[in-house]
Amino acid sequence: MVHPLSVPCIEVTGLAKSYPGAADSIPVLKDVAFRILPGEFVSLLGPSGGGKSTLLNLIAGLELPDEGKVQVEGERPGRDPRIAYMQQKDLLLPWRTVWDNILLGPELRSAAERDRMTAAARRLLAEFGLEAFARAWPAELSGGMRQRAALIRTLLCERPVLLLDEPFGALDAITRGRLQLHLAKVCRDLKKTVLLVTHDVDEALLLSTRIVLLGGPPGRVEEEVPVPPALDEAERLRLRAHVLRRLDALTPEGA
Amino acid sequence: MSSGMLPEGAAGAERVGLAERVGLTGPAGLAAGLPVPAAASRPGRTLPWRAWLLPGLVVAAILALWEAGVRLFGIPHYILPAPSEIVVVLVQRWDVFARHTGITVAESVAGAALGIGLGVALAMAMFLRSWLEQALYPLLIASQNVPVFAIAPLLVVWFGYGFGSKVAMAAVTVFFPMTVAALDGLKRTDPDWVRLFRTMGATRRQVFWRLRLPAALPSVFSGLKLAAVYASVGAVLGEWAGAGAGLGYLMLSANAQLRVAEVFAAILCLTPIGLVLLGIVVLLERRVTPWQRVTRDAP
Repeated sequence: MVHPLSVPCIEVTGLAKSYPGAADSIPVLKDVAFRILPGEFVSLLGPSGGGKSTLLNLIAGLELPDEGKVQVEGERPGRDPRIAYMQQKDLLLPWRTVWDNILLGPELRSAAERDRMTAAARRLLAEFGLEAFARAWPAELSGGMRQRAALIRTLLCERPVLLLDEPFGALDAITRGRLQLHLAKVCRDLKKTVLLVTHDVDEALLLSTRIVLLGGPPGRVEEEVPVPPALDEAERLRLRAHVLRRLDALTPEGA
Repeated sequence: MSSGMLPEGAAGAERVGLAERVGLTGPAGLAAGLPVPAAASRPGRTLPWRAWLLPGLVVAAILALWEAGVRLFGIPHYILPAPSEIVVVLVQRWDVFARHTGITVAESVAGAALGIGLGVALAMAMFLRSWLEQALYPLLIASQNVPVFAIAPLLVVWFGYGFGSKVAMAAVTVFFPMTVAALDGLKRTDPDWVRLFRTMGATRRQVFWRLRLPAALPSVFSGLKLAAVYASVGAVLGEWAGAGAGLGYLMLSANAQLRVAEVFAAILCLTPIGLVLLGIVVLLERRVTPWQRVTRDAP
């Protein structure tokens, strides 16, 4: 019997994807391979247009790869997935209050599930500073509040794996910093496995156990940078400089 | 908004006209398959009295000129009666007008309900079964090249001289804009929302009832507003084609006897029908889609 921890949570092998272009197809991902172990927090860094969002779509099972395969906990992603996916847009439903938005995941399973999750929902609202806005419509919230609500909705899906596509993209530095710490704590507490797409090197260093550098287009894994748990300032700066140097080299001129 | 930091937006918001405030959009836009502006149908603030001041002054001026002109040039009442004459006729024969108005209202409401029901049902059927849409949508568009009033005499033959043919006429008038608006609303669900529901493991049924249908509501209400306004037009067209009662009948018989003041009085009775029905739809919209009224001023 294989020890459960040695089974990768997400395993991607030989992944290729291209989209039809004007003349011929445009490759977005080419021969992408990596694995994420249970409980890891992996950040995906790379220049724009490197196919990071496409990669998340493939892992979520929303699109099918041209070549290669995706395995989530040893199976192909599909119906009844193990993944909660937070896309770049907050995608809150305007006709539901914040409360009804964050409980969407449990509600789609059953009314009983929804009832079961209300305590957790209340706790997360308080933790992310939204308890006063439970009854508000999404249109009444600021961009940062909307993203927080979307993040809570993602967490309340109760899936072991989180795919987060720039969840803090539209936030000011202060809010961003607070939310990053919240997210780190919540993910640790709930033992989530996370794949985070970000443009922010500091965010990646703060949150992740490993950074995957994606070059391109077409996207491919250029380097995997492990981030030691208790990073002292000198080490952090050294790693930061290294990652920034690599990113600079990977970003094409004029991008 | 008061800080003047958003001059463009502020000016734009002030310049919203009455039609935009109730979210009424022309049938031309619908027929061309143009998106129904959901953002415009945000009947949030109550109309300030100032919005009514200028139009009211224009109406008063026209009525004064009309009254003065008729008296000054001695225009005979069978060509153009003075506004005061119209009011007198309306007051003297109010029972007759009330009875015929009641009949036209009943025809309009029944016809609107029928047309709305059939339109929404067909839109849902076409949305759920794409072969149905492929088969029927071109015919639906093509059928709009037949003027509605051209089939009114046929409807009288098929549904009789009384209530039925008028209801059918109102329903036919309302059916097309309603179908197109509802179908358009169902089809314009943001695909990213569908993806979100899919990653959450939603069934097709859940995607329809909890996502597509509520997302279509603003568009459905645009269709309902057009239905409210045009139902009475359809009913009167039906009455013109052959009837023994209703405001359309009253108009034709009064016109034939050169009692022009009565024709005007009938028009005066007809106009509020569409407006009241429109008001009911707007109130309903505020109840059913309360989220459409909220906006955040500060970013």
